[in-house]
Amino acid sequence: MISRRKFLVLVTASAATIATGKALSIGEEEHKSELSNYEWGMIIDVDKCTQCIKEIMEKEGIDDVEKVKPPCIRECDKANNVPESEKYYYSLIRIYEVREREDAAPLYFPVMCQECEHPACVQVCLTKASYRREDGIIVVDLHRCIGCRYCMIACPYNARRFLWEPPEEHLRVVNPEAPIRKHGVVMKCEFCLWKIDRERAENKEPKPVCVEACPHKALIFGNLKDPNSEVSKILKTSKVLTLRAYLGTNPKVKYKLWGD
Amino acid sequence: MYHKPYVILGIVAFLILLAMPYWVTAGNIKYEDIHKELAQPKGVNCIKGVKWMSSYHMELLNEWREAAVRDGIRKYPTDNGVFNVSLTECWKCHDYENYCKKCHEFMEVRPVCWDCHYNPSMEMPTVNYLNK
Repeated sequence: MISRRKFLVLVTASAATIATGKALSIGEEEHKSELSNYEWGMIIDVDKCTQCIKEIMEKEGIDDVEKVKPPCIRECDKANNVPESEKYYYSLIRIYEVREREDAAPLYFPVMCQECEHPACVQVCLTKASYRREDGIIVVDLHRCIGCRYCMIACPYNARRFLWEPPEEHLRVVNPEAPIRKHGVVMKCEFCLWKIDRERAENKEPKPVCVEACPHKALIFGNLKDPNSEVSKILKTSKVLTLRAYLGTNPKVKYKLWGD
Repeated sequence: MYHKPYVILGIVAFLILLAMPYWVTAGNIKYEDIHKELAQPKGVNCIKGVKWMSSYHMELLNEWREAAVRDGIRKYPTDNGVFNVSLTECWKCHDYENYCKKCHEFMEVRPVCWDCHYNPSMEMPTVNYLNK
């Protein structure tokens, strides 16, 4: 006959074994969808962007880089239902002036959401509205966003915008495919996911609107997991810059400088 | 039975109260069929069967919402063909004003979709990237 002491030890030990085993196996379960074959990335040729923005500033006589609307920003605003406003800067791409030295000629960096591998905005999201999709795009599920703006504070690239005003009053044209949104949510560049997801399903080469709109072909978009894609080739052959790399966010948007 | 008259009176009063909808409206309750007043859709086949769609289209749209936003699925194959996972797919066949809105108003349903999504009654100029 088994003693009471031995019985209790056996029962506890087996329960502990089962519990540990279950806890370990939960982490391993990971369903992979079709999206896991992709990792979208973008390479921006800063020299071409600087050239283009300089030309626009000279032609239109604008001093402030924030007021410059190159074709990429104009097309992006139109396609993603970004409201026009005098009061707030809503465009999902923002142009920053960078100089090598104080007296050097300015370089213009178009900065949109950098689609980080380790995004700070997703970590802080209270409602899990912001999340990282399997293909690396950071998406805001506007059905869940409560507009707390934690993500805007967390984002090191200032890539997110808060919709202060009812957008329908500030829109000139509407793209029915993309959401119009409501005021009080946060919006960001999502690589035009409504467009690239559809084009992927149609077996076309997916391209966000800004990439198609750029007249200088300064923006290159593609799948980083495909070794034959244009972005992968450029990453292998050219030097590229990562913004604020010391933060360890590992962005999927890279900047190409100084020619090839 | 104790207090027989009171009990019977109580039962009768209860039955009268139960039948209140009938005597308050004086028998004017009638079945209204909104189906005849709705605009006829242009296409032949809906995403699923017509009966299923009229009862469960909201569940399909919820399913689509999750699929499109979370999993990046933008094409939805059914027995009737492949459909774009988008609200724009609805008014390829259906008239918004005389079909969707009319029935929703009749049923006193107020979908929140149109707070953030475009519908044709908004009367705003559109750009279309679908056919480019």
